[in-house]
Amino acid sequence: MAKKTIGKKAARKKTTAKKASGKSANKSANKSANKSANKSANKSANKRTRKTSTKNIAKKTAKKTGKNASKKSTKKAVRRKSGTNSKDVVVYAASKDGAAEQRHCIAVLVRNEAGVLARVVGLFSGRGYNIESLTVSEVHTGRKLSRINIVTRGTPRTLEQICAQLERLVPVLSVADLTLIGASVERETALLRVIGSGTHRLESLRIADMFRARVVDSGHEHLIFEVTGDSGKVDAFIRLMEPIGLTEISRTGIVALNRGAGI
Amino acid sequence: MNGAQMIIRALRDHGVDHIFGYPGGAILPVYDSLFGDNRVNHILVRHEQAAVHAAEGYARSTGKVGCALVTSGPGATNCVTGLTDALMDSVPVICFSGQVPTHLIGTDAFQEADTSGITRACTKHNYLPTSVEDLPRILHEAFHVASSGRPGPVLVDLPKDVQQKKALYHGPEHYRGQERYPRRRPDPAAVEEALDLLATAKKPIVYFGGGVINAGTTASKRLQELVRYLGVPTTSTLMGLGAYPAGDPLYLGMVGMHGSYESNLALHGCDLILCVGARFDDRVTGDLSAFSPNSRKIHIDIDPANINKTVHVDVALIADAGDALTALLDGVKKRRLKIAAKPLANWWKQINQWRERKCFSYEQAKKGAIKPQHAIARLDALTRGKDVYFTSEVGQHQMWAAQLLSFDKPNRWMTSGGLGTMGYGLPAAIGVQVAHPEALVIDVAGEASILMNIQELSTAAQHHLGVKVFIVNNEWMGMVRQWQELVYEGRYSQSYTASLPDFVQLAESFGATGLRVDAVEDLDDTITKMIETPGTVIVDCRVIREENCYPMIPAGAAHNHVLLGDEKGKRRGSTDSGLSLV
Repeated sequence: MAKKTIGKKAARKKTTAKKASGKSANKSANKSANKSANKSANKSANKRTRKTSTKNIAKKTAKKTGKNASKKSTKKAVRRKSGTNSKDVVVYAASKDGAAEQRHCIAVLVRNEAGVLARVVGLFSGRGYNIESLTVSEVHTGRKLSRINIVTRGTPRTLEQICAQLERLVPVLSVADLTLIGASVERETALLRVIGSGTHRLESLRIADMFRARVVDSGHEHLIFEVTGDSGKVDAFIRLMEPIGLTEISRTGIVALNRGAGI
Repeated sequence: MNGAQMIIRALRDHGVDHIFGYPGGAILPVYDSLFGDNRVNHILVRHEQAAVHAAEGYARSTGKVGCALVTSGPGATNCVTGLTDALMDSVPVICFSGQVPTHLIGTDAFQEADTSGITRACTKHNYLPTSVEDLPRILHEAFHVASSGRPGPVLVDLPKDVQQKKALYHGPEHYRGQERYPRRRPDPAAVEEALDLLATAKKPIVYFGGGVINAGTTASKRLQELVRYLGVPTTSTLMGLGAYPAGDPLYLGMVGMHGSYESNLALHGCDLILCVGARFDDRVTGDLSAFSPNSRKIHIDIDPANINKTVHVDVALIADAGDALTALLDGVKKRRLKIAAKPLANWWKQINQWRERKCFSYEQAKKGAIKPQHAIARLDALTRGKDVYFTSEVGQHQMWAAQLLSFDKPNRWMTSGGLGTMGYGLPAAIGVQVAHPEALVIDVAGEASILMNIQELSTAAQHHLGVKVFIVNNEWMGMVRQWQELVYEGRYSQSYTASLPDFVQLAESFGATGLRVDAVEDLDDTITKMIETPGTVIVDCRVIREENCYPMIPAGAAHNHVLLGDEKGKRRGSTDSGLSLV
């Protein structure tokens, strides 16, 4: 069976603090952060100890500002493990553990067999996890492998559970929390049907130009735009199109890859 | 070889000599290939749920995979409870279910059900082979998935045409090396960290569960060696009973909602928990925010998803319990690690004070009505030293059995822990008896639970399985009644069973022996008679109806708020949020 692509738990514990410190920080500290994340992930691949309190991490994260996602501070987070004061471990339901919810993108590599998507989706509904976006497609025809990209929201503890639960599924070959591993590229494509003529039509074309959206179908009374970008861009495009004749939207959901040379 | 023959062949290749089942249209080819084959012994049950429970009993008492064989539609849906039970309690079970032929799937055919869809959430994995060429691989993979890692139930849904078509069969050796769950060794660095924590502990406790039993008898031996080497107190979950001998002075009894006073207080007051093959279930932890507030935790579990699921732990050892315990034991010996003597002595002093409370004590009058606890205690006393296996149903009698029966060996106690399935005990006992024909197998039952699968008396009779059913009869759904008394101010809504059968006559009608006892003077004689009478025996043991099961940690309360039997008056009930926890 395929080796787990990353020592994801190790990566998770060492990088949560870093990653949670904000998207912008991630972007700017991209290269170095990514490097160190990869390093630590490799180093402790298959190391299954989870030492740091998720709570601790969350606390640290909250204190942390912007760009100081340096190696030093992550090391500290690891070292603090034995200093965990069990008094601040308050647990039951994930929502009660006090930590803020985060949005993570999880990539799941599965054997493409009957019912595999139902298993993954059933796990989310059965255990009460969120799905904000879900995409699935075969990525390796010869080996019959599919990749499922799931965007979900939860506390660090819940996210850890989600990955662990996903890994238990028999057809699941690997699970990677892209948001934890490092910065990732997320893209989504949307098709928008816009009805209208005259100034509305011109305005829609002008906005489309700003968003680098393409016209993929047109008629006297309608246009269909194709726009690609991260979810924020697509959302913004939709918002602008709404008052000028938007009648129908079809979105692909998010596909993502982590940046860098790969995991 | 056709698909149906492959199934029987695969059973033999995996050492399965008994299968529990019930025939029907869509599984007839497999039944046909069973015909005249005396290498796989088929036990005909009376309800498919019982087939899975029997397979569970068989699996849990032997450590082997238990197998069930049922037909499509209702046959498969009847298995859902059993499969869920096996999933919750990590029991290796494979259920082979018939299915309508592939060309009829999706047409609402006769006795068609979306079995793979229905059982997706209640199995570790399920398969729907659509070509007979795939079948050998799937069969061997099913055995691997069921028995490796954290064991669990697997269902193989077999379309009738797949059973009938022919293909080449390959044995399990053909697929070696493709296993999904390679054996995972404990991480040496984590072992060192665990040893560091042990070395600095002053008030440690070892809390173990069913994982130790699933890891095999050597795991139990390692557990005992480690606990004795360190001289630390140890406590068990409901599922772990027997992994550590009950009579040992280091053993504090079962922990949890109806666990012993000393074990719950020790778990609450300790400064280090070494959790071995247990999963911090809500019946053990009670109020999570107040669970063992001052302790560090080491968690040994084979399932990574159990780590930090409900309780945050400091060190996790993801491995087979036996391997992890061996690694710890080696490390402890190598370091000559000892728990500091003085704090440990103080810790034991404290624990012994809690023990003085004698939380399981009850007052039994010399004559007349029987206390349920006394009935179980006598059952324990009179079976001690015998080759005995106990199963149980679910309810008060189950908790009394867990409290008062003394298990010295693993695999001797079969109960529905996670799912709490009433009706589990009798079919499970049948499974145990099939695996151990010479042993004494006793189902400790309640009169309500036993009626849920009472039809299995017929199975026992047909296959000459001399299981003993000891019914602790208080005419109430005792645990429901207890909660209604303590939590719902005595509004006993629908918890009294009127029109109970005459269990003696009922036993006789099934060709079994029925005994009744309602006075304590006759109790011992009746139990002895039950043990000595060959064949199936039902004892209708009439007990005092109003007895409650103590100690009890009210729902949502912390361990140190445990309720004891002799302080009933000053009731510290459940909190509102606790009540929502069941």
